[in-house]
Amino acid sequence: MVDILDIVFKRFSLQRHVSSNINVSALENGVLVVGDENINRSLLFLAAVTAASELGIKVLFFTQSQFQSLPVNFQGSASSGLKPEYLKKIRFVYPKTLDDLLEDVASLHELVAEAAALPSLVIVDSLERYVCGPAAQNRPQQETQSAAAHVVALLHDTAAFLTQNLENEAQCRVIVSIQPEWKGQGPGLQVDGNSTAEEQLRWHVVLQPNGALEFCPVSPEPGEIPQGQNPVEVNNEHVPLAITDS
Amino acid sequence: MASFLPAVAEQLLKDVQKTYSEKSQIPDDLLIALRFVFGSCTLQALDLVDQRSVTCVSSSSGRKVFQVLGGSGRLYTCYTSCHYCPCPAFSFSVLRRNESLVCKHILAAYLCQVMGLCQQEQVSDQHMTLILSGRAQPDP
Repeated sequence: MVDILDIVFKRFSLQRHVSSNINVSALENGVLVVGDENINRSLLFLAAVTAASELGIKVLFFTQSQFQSLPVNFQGSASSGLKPEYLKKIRFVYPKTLDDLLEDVASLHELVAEAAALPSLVIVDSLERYVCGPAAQNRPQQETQSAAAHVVALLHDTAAFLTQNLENEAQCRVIVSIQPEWKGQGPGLQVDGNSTAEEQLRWHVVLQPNGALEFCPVSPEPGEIPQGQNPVEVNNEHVPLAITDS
Repeated sequence: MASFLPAVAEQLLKDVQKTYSEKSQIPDDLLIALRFVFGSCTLQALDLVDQRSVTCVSSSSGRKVFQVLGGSGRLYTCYTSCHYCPCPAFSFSVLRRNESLVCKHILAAYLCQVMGLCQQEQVSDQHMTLILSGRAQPDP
């Protein structure tokens, strides 16, 4: 699991539910977050701010819709280390279409020539909006999958390039979120359920009425996660998230 | 190319590299092994290698990408750190059906790398952006 998400979950999890038996897999540089889009968005924002404040790294946040307000409540003891001024380390980019997203990610190598600070965390929120959006309603499912693969591959290749150019052996992480079976907007994007139970950690993420997020890990039972099916059930308040290492 | 291949495929490519550097050809036993490991795209990939169809395109930022000239005359952009190709065969056989490890274009890129047969081309950073996003092809 990307180290930043590890920090977020451990810092904000309900302490009484943290189990020492849950082993976070070896740190990887790419994670796919699967779940409800609103929860995903808040989680990604929290990850971005945590990365900027705890690790002091530059973050690039791609999302289709602009943030009209802070999606996370910065009050409370768990959030005491997070301050809104850390938002300055986060660059928000709002590509409207799939082509815009591809071009924005593809252009990141130009930062090297510009001697600009390189991001160590690249976040793409709601990938389904780009590959299954209104413009793709008549697109065959196969093209949707290929488009998603293209974006993820480009992100991976870009992160690998940025890692080569970051100082102090730092690594560039990638976090992508999707909401499978995006209703009303085309066939949706199925998540391949081939990860083992150990690789696919599940968390209950509770969105409090005041906007705060709380996390509680859930150990999957053997056979609980069906193969080839979306393992996430979405309801109003208690939304389990599947975090899959890539 | 950073590899996502199974260990047996990686070792096979190393064997090809070593043998080709010594003998300037791939012996029959390695050809058979390539066919066994990579499947039906092997022969077409070797044709692409013979035709010197793979170009390693790089820009001043240091970013690199492979461009493979397909049989139809179209250029396919393949990344250096992971498996992706915009061709229909990759989409169908690799992504959708999970029947093949790679398509012929990616295999041709692997083979040209280990055999030292990649053509080289330098482009601007801006042109590299267009190539990576799938919007442009370098001048032939």
